Amino acid sequence: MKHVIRFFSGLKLILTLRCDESERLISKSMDGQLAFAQRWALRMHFVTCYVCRRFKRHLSILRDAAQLRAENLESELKVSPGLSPESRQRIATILERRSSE
Amino acid sequence: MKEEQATKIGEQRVNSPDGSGAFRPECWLDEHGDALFAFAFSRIRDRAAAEDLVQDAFAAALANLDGFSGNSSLRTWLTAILRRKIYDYYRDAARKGFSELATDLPDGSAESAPRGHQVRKRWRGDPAWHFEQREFWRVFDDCREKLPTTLAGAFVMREMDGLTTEEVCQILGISASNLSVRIFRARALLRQCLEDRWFAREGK
Repeated sequence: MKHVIRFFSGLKLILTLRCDESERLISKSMDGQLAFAQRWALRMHFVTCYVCRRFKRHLSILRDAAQLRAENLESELKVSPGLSPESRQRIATILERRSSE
Repeated sequence: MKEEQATKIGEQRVNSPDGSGAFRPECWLDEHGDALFAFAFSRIRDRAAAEDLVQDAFAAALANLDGFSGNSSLRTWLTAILRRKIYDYYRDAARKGFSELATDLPDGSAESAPRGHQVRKRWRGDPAWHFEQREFWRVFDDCREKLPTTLAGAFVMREMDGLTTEEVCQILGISASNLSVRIFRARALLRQCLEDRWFAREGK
Protein backbone atom coordinates (compact mmCIF):
# COMPACT_ATOMS: atom_id res chain seq x y z
CA MET A 1 0.00 0.00 0.00
CA LYS A 2 2.79 2.36 0.93
CA HIS A 3 4.43 1.72 -2.41
CA VAL A 4 1.25 2.49 -4.27
CA ILE A 5 0.82 5.78 -2.47
CA ARG A 6 4.42 6.68 -3.14
CA PHE A 7 4.06 5.76 -6.77
CA PHE A 8 1.03 7.97 -7.27
CA SER A 9 2.40 10.90 -5.32
CA GLY A 10 5.54 10.65 -7.43
CA LEU A 11 3.50 10.53 -10.58
CA LYS A 12 1.47 13.50 -9.44
CA LEU A 13 4.65 15.45 -8.80
CA ILE A 14 5.98 14.63 -12.25
CA LEU A 15 2.75 15.67 -13.95
CA THR A 16 1.87 18.73 -11.96
CA LEU A 17 5.10 20.36 -10.82
CA ARG A 18 4.68 24.11 -10.66
CA CYS A 19 7.35 26.74 -11.07
CA ASP A 20 7.54 27.78 -7.43
CA GLU A 21 8.08 24.18 -6.36
CA SER A 22 10.40 23.61 -9.27
CA GLU A 23 12.64 26.45 -8.09
CA ARG A 24 12.90 24.89 -4.66
CA LEU A 25 13.88 21.59 -6.21
CA ILE A 26 16.49 23.28 -8.40
CA SER A 27 18.03 24.83 -5.33
CA LYS A 28 17.85 21.53 -3.48
CA SER A 29 19.50 19.67 -6.34
CA MET A 30 22.58 21.82 -5.79
CA ASP A 31 22.94 20.48 -2.26
CA GLY A 32 22.44 16.79 -2.80
CA GLN A 33 20.78 14.04 -4.77
CA LEU A 34 17.05 14.47 -5.41
CA ALA A 35 14.59 11.61 -5.14
CA PHE A 36 13.77 9.76 -8.33
CA ALA A 37 10.36 11.37 -8.84
CA GLN A 38 11.75 14.81 -8.08
CA ARG A 39 14.47 14.40 -10.68
CA TRP A 40 11.99 13.37 -13.33
CA ALA A 41 9.52 16.05 -12.36
CA LEU A 42 12.25 18.64 -12.92
CA ARG A 43 13.32 17.15 -16.22
CA MET A 44 9.77 17.14 -17.53
CA HIS A 45 9.24 20.65 -16.26
CA PHE A 46 12.35 21.93 -18.02
CA VAL A 47 11.05 20.69 -21.35
CA THR A 48 8.30 23.27 -21.32
CA CYS A 49 9.53 25.96 -18.95
CA TYR A 50 12.38 28.16 -20.12
CA VAL A 51 11.97 30.37 -17.05
CA CYS A 52 13.00 27.54 -14.76
CA ARG A 53 15.78 26.48 -17.10
CA ARG A 54 17.12 29.99 -16.75
CA PHE A 55 16.73 29.87 -13.00
CA LYS A 56 18.89 26.77 -12.88
CA ARG A 57 21.58 28.33 -15.03
CA HIS A 58 21.54 31.50 -12.95
CA LEU A 59 22.01 29.63 -9.70
CA SER A 60 25.00 27.82 -11.11
CA ILE A 61 26.55 31.12 -12.25
CA LEU A 62 25.85 32.48 -8.79
CA ARG A 63 27.71 29.57 -7.25
CA ASP A 64 30.72 30.05 -9.54
CA ALA A 65 30.78 33.73 -8.63
CA ALA A 66 30.63 32.95 -4.91
CA GLN A 67 33.52 30.51 -5.17
CA LEU A 68 35.63 32.97 -7.13
CA ARG A 69 34.87 35.64 -4.58
CA ALA A 70 36.00 33.40 -1.75
CA GLU A 71 39.21 32.28 -3.39
CA ASN A 72 40.42 35.51 -4.80
CA LEU A 73 41.93 37.07 -1.70
CA GLU A 74 44.89 38.55 -3.56
CA SER A 75 42.74 40.96 -5.50
CA GLU A 76 40.53 41.30 -2.45
CA LEU A 77 43.46 42.78 -0.59
CA LYS A 78 43.90 45.40 -3.30
CA VAL A 79 40.36 46.70 -3.08
CA SER A 80 39.75 46.09 0.61
CA PRO A 81 39.44 49.30 2.58
CA GLY A 82 41.56 47.79 5.37
CA LEU A 83 41.07 48.13 9.08
CA SER A 84 39.88 51.50 10.28
CA PRO A 85 42.29 53.52 12.45
CA GLU A 86 40.05 53.03 15.50
CA SER A 87 39.95 49.28 15.12
CA ARG A 88 43.69 49.22 14.44
CA GLN A 89 44.26 51.11 17.67
CA ARG A 90 42.11 48.73 19.70
CA ILE A 91 43.90 45.70 18.31
CA ALA A 92 47.31 47.25 18.85
CA THR A 93 46.44 47.86 22.49
CA ILE A 94 45.43 44.25 22.98
CA LEU A 95 48.53 42.87 21.30
CA GLU A 96 50.96 45.16 23.09
CA ARG A 97 49.45 44.61 26.49
CA ARG A 98 49.75 40.88 26.11
CA SER A 99 53.26 40.82 24.74
CA SER A 100 54.57 43.08 27.50
CA GLU A 101 53.20 40.83 30.20
CA MET B 1 55.35 39.76 -2.92
CA LYS B 2 55.16 41.97 0.10
CA GLU B 3 52.65 39.58 1.55
CA GLU B 4 54.90 36.58 0.92
CA GLN B 5 57.75 38.22 2.72
CA ALA B 6 55.54 39.12 5.60
CA THR B 7 54.43 35.53 5.92
CA LYS B 8 58.00 34.29 5.84
CA ILE B 9 59.07 36.72 8.49
CA GLY B 10 56.14 35.58 10.57
CA GLU B 11 57.24 31.99 10.19
CA GLN B 12 60.81 32.69 11.13
CA ARG B 13 59.79 34.48 14.25
CA VAL B 14 57.45 31.82 15.31
CA ASN B 15 59.81 29.02 14.51
CA SER B 16 62.92 30.59 15.95
CA PRO B 17 64.33 27.78 18.04
CA ASP B 18 65.87 29.72 20.91
CA GLY B 19 62.42 30.44 22.25
CA SER B 20 63.26 33.96 23.34
CA GLY B 21 60.92 36.37 21.63
CA ALA B 22 59.71 33.60 19.39
CA PHE B 23 56.37 35.32 19.28
CA ARG B 24 56.14 38.94 18.39
CA PRO B 25 52.41 39.57 18.57
CA GLU B 26 52.99 43.31 18.41
CA CYS B 27 53.97 42.76 14.76
CA TRP B 28 50.88 40.74 13.90
CA LEU B 29 48.76 43.76 13.26
CA ASP B 30 51.04 45.24 10.59
CA GLU B 31 51.76 41.93 8.96
CA HIS B 32 48.35 40.31 8.98
CA GLY B 33 45.76 42.87 10.07
CA ASP B 34 44.60 44.06 6.68
CA ALA B 35 44.69 40.61 5.10
CA LEU B 36 42.59 39.17 7.91
CA PHE B 37 40.19 42.05 7.62
CA ALA B 38 39.90 41.49 3.86
CA PHE B 39 39.09 37.85 4.57
CA ALA B 40 36.45 38.72 7.16
CA PHE B 41 34.94 41.50 5.08
CA SER B 42 34.63 39.22 2.06
CA ARG B 43 32.41 36.99 4.18
CA ILE B 44 30.65 39.52 6.35
CA ARG B 45 29.63 42.61 4.47
CA ASP B 46 29.54 44.73 7.58
CA ARG B 47 32.70 46.67 8.32
CA ALA B 48 32.19 47.08 12.03
CA ALA B 49 31.29 43.43 12.55
CA ALA B 50 34.22 42.27 10.42
CA GLU B 51 36.62 44.47 12.41
CA ASP B 52 35.30 43.15 15.69
CA LEU B 53 35.84 39.60 14.51
CA VAL B 54 39.41 40.32 13.47
CA GLN B 55 39.99 41.77 16.92
CA ASP B 56 38.43 38.70 18.55
CA ALA B 57 40.56 36.44 16.40
CA PHE B 58 43.77 38.20 17.43
CA ALA B 59 42.78 38.00 21.08
CA ALA B 60 41.93 34.31 20.75
CA ALA B 61 45.23 33.63 19.00
CA LEU B 62 47.15 35.33 21.80
CA ALA B 63 45.32 33.37 24.43
CA ASN B 64 46.08 30.16 22.63
CA LEU B 65 49.64 30.53 21.42
CA ASP B 66 50.39 26.93 22.29
CA GLY B 67 47.83 25.88 19.72
CA PHE B 68 50.13 27.06 16.96
CA SER B 69 51.99 24.04 15.70
CA GLY B 70 54.41 25.78 13.38
CA ASN B 71 53.52 23.37 10.61
CA SER B 72 51.48 25.98 8.86
CA SER B 73 52.25 29.64 8.36
CA LEU B 74 51.16 32.09 10.98
CA ARG B 75 48.78 33.62 8.44
CA THR B 76 47.07 30.30 7.85
CA TRP B 77 46.72 29.70 11.55
CA LEU B 78 45.27 33.15 12.21
CA THR B 79 42.90 32.77 9.26
CA ALA B 80 41.60 29.47 10.62
CA ILE B 81 40.86 31.12 13.96
CA LEU B 82 39.15 34.01 12.21
CA ARG B 83 37.09 31.62 10.13
CA ARG B 84 35.75 30.00 13.28
CA LYS B 85 34.87 33.42 14.65
CA ILE B 86 32.99 34.20 11.45
CA TYR B 87 31.02 30.98 11.68
CA ASP B 88 30.23 31.67 15.34
CA TYR B 89 28.93 35.06 14.34
CA TYR B 90 26.59 33.49 11.82
CA ARG B 91 25.49 30.82 14.27
CA ASP B 92 24.47 33.49 16.75
CA ALA B 93 22.59 35.25 13.97
CA ALA B 94 20.83 32.03 13.02
CA ARG B 95 19.71 31.60 16.62
CA LYS B 96 17.66 34.73 16.29
CA GLY B 97 15.19 32.23 15.04
CA PHE B 98 13.15 31.31 12.12
CA SER B 99 10.06 33.38 12.84
CA GLU B 100 11.96 36.46 11.84
CA LEU B 101 12.67 34.94 8.46
CA ALA B 102 9.14 35.21 7.24
CA THR B 103 9.13 38.97 7.61
CA ASP B 104 12.64 39.97 6.66
CA LEU B 105 12.29 39.22 3.00
CA PRO B 106 12.21 42.18 0.69
CA ASP B 107 9.54 42.17 -1.97
CA GLY B 108 10.26 40.81 -5.37
CA SER B 109 11.68 37.51 -4.21
CA ALA B 110 10.47 34.23 -5.61
CA GLU B 111 8.38 34.03 -2.48
CA SER B 112 5.96 36.66 -3.68
CA ALA B 113 5.27 34.91 -6.95
CA PRO B 114 3.26 31.81 -6.14
CA ARG B 115 2.75 30.98 -9.81
CA GLY B 116 6.44 31.37 -10.33
CA HIS B 117 5.98 32.88 -13.74
CA GLN B 118 7.71 36.02 -12.94
CA VAL B 119 9.77 36.76 -16.01
CA ARG B 120 13.38 35.83 -15.66
CA LYS B 121 15.68 37.71 -17.92
CA ARG B 122 18.17 35.93 -20.05
CA TRP B 123 21.67 36.40 -18.70
CA ARG B 124 23.57 37.06 -21.86
CA GLY B 125 27.24 36.53 -22.38
CA ASP B 126 29.88 34.21 -21.07
CA PRO B 127 29.96 34.18 -17.26
CA ALA B 128 33.75 34.36 -17.48
CA TRP B 129 33.43 37.74 -19.18
CA HIS B 130 31.15 39.05 -16.46
CA PHE B 131 33.54 37.82 -13.80
CA GLU B 132 36.26 39.97 -15.32
CA GLN B 133 34.27 43.15 -14.87
CA ARG B 134 35.17 45.12 -11.79
CA GLU B 135 31.69 46.57 -11.66
CA PHE B 136 30.16 43.10 -11.57
CA TRP B 137 31.89 42.38 -8.27
CA ARG B 138 30.82 45.68 -6.83
CA VAL B 139 27.22 44.77 -7.61
CA PHE B 140 27.74 41.24 -6.32
CA ASP B 141 29.07 42.53 -3.00
CA ASP B 142 26.32 45.11 -2.74
CA CYS B 143 23.71 42.42 -3.24
CA ARG B 144 25.32 40.24 -0.59
CA GLU B 145 25.37 43.17 1.77
CA LYS B 146 21.60 43.44 1.53
CA LEU B 147 21.09 39.79 2.34
CA PRO B 148 19.61 39.31 5.83
CA THR B 149 22.23 37.95 8.24
CA THR B 150 20.02 34.96 8.98
CA LEU B 151 20.42 33.92 5.35
CA ALA B 152 23.91 35.18 4.61
CA GLY B 153 25.63 32.63 6.86
CA ALA B 154 24.17 29.70 4.98
CA PHE B 155 25.21 31.24 1.69
CA VAL B 156 28.76 32.01 2.78
CA MET B 157 29.39 28.55 4.17
CA ARG B 158 27.70 26.57 1.46
CA GLU B 159 28.48 28.56 -1.68
CA MET B 160 31.61 30.50 -0.84
CA ASP B 161 33.45 28.10 1.45
CA GLY B 162 31.96 24.97 -0.09
CA LEU B 163 31.05 23.22 3.16
CA THR B 164 28.66 20.29 2.91
CA THR B 165 25.06 20.78 3.98
CA GLU B 166 25.72 18.55 7.00
CA GLU B 167 28.60 20.73 8.10
CA VAL B 168 26.58 23.91 7.69
CA CYS B 169 23.65 22.46 9.64
CA GLN B 170 25.99 21.49 12.45
CA ILE B 171 27.70 24.87 12.64
CA LEU B 172 24.48 26.85 12.48
CA GLY B 173 22.61 24.42 14.70
CA ILE B 174 19.67 24.12 12.33
CA SER B 175 17.91 21.22 10.65
CA ALA B 176 18.48 20.16 7.07
CA SER B 177 15.06 21.36 5.96
CA ASN B 178 15.58 24.70 7.68
CA LEU B 179 18.88 25.09 5.87
CA SER B 180 17.35 24.22 2.56
CA VAL B 181 14.76 26.99 3.01
CA ARG B 182 17.37 29.52 4.03
CA ILE B 183 19.77 28.69 1.25
CA PHE B 184 16.95 28.74 -1.29
CA ARG B 185 15.89 32.20 -0.16
CA ALA B 186 19.44 33.46 -0.17
CA ARG B 187 20.00 32.18 -3.70
CA ALA B 188 16.69 33.54 -4.96
CA LEU B 189 17.33 37.00 -3.48
CA LEU B 190 20.86 37.21 -4.81
CA ARG B 191 19.79 35.93 -8.20
CA GLN B 192 17.11 38.58 -8.43
CA CYS B 193 19.42 41.33 -7.26
CA LEU B 194 22.14 40.40 -9.76
CA GLU B 195 19.56 40.28 -12.50
CA ASP B 196 18.07 43.68 -11.67
CA ARG B 197 21.31 45.46 -11.08
CA TRP B 198 23.68 43.82 -13.51
CA PHE B 199 22.39 41.39 -16.09
CA ALA B 200 19.24 43.29 -17.04
CA ARG B 201 21.33 46.40 -17.65
CA GLU B 202 24.05 44.58 -19.50
CA GLY B 203 21.56 43.23 -21.99
CA LYS B 204 20.47 46.66 -23.11
